[in-house]
Amino acid sequence: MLVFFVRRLIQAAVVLLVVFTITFAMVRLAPGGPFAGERVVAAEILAAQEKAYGLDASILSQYGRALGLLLRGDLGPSYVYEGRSVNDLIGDAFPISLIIGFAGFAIALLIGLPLGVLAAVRKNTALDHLASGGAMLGICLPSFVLGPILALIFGIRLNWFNASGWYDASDWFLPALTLGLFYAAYIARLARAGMLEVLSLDYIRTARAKGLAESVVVGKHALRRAILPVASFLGPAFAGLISGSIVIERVFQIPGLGYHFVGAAMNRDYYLAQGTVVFYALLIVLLNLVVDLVHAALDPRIREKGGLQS
Amino acid sequence: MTRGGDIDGGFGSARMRSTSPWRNAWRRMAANRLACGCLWLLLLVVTGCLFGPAFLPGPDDQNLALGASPPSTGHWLGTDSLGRDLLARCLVGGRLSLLVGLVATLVALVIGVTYGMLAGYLGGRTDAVMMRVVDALYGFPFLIFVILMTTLFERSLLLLFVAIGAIEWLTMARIVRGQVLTLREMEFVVAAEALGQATPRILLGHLLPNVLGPVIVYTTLTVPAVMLLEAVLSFLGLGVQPPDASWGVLISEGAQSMESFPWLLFFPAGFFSLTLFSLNLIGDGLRDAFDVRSEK
Repeated sequence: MLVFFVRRLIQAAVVLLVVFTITFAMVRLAPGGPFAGERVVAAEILAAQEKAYGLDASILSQYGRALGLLLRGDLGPSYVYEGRSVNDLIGDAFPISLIIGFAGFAIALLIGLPLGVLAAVRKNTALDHLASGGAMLGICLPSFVLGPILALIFGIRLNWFNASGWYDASDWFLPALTLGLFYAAYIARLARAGMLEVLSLDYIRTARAKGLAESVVVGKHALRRAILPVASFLGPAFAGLISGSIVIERVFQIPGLGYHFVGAAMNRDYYLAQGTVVFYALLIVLLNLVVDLVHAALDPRIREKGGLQS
Repeated sequence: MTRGGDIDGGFGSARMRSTSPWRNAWRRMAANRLACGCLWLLLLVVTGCLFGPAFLPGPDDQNLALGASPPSTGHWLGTDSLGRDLLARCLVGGRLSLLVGLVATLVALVIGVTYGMLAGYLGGRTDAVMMRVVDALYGFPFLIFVILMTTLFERSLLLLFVAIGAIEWLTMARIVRGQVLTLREMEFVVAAEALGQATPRILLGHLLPNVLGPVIVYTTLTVPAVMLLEAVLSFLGLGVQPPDASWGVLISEGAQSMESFPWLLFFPAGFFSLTLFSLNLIGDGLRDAFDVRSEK
């Protein structure tokens, strides 16, 4: 397990370095700079600005500088938000994204898992068709369609929540629901398929033959194995939640990490853009580690192989 | 495609007894009423997008005096704030969305099939490394890089195709690799190798025709994924640029004025979701018909 951990850490460091380098190259090679705005600025002022932020140095020495800062955990200054560091901005924005992401994930699991299991147990009943149909519908209603519709109904017509912005304590709900419903649909489909497959296995027949109650057979014996496909989906789901939060934060005008990221990329805010990407990469690496641990905890076959997933 | 001459070539009698896997798959597909209904629905949408605008007012014809009007007999789906006919805009926008869906899927198809076939055929260490890369990429939020690319460089449809195609090839690569892994142990491949045929010839001539079934299934399922991505980018203002319209652009515009003119959001969203819905169900139906496994 320790070897596994160390190997994963080295892997993570390599991934982060690659991501950082690619982002750095992309941001710098693109035409336009952070100060190339619509306002015409005197050449001397531009030069002074660039000098102050170290943009007059060669690309290679800029890279070295940024990498040096990164190693010390400093993501550099923001060009657009004057006087604020990228660490500072991420520190403000990330908790907001985290709340929405976490709540969305909880909603997805709490709705998706029971729905999928129930649909499998009551296969080919009205309940199953309703759940499966609903899940298909949920997958085909992308967040940027569902989000505005939810905002229209609950925000504007019913006036239960703010339609956009981040002011009240309840503002997390609509974005989280939008984010969660899509994954709830996906998880429900996976859980249903997984459950159906497991329920036809011999050990389940044995459990039933022993005279165990159906709730025990499903809840204790089958569930654990049936949710393995769901666990495998967790990695891509986390990545999707992060991508999704970018869209959702735009829909609901929420000053989270994704909102800052899109703004930074559009405004050529070099350090903010590359800082957010590196931060996202770090997040993903950590989350994938968690996914592997969850997998190992659920599946004894993986545990015995020393945590190596196929 | 439906005849599959390459697959049972030389076994004409087998085809006449209609035991060819293609025939069986087709029969199973035809029995799936839901998938067939969706096929008709999709056909309707595609035909409407291709030929409908010819019978409608131009999608860019403004009528400022009319402004945003709800659905009426003159404009079936109403008009937007510039007085443009929404049905015409939805249908013309659909052309672009479907085009992006098809072309970007093609890009994903080429990358995925090539990668998967190489990994599966070469096997061993190469395969292990190549699939490890795919595993690693799976857990990565590519949208971030696509956003970076589309904001930093000049926005063009070509960039959009490449960027989306470069993301969506992963599942295809996995499936093709899995198929090739079993196929390459079979006699006809061993025979081809023994005859000293070159690797490209074996890959293209012998292996490719045999993975076509799963590839077709997953192509059908990739199209909605790709269209979704295009719509997300257009929604963020990073994809198709106005005055060009795609469903993503229309949804984005509609969301901005949904408070006063909700139909501007509902109709484009309806077109888009209905198309995704039917594509997904057709893909599911085909998958059941060909009995392809999605996992691993």
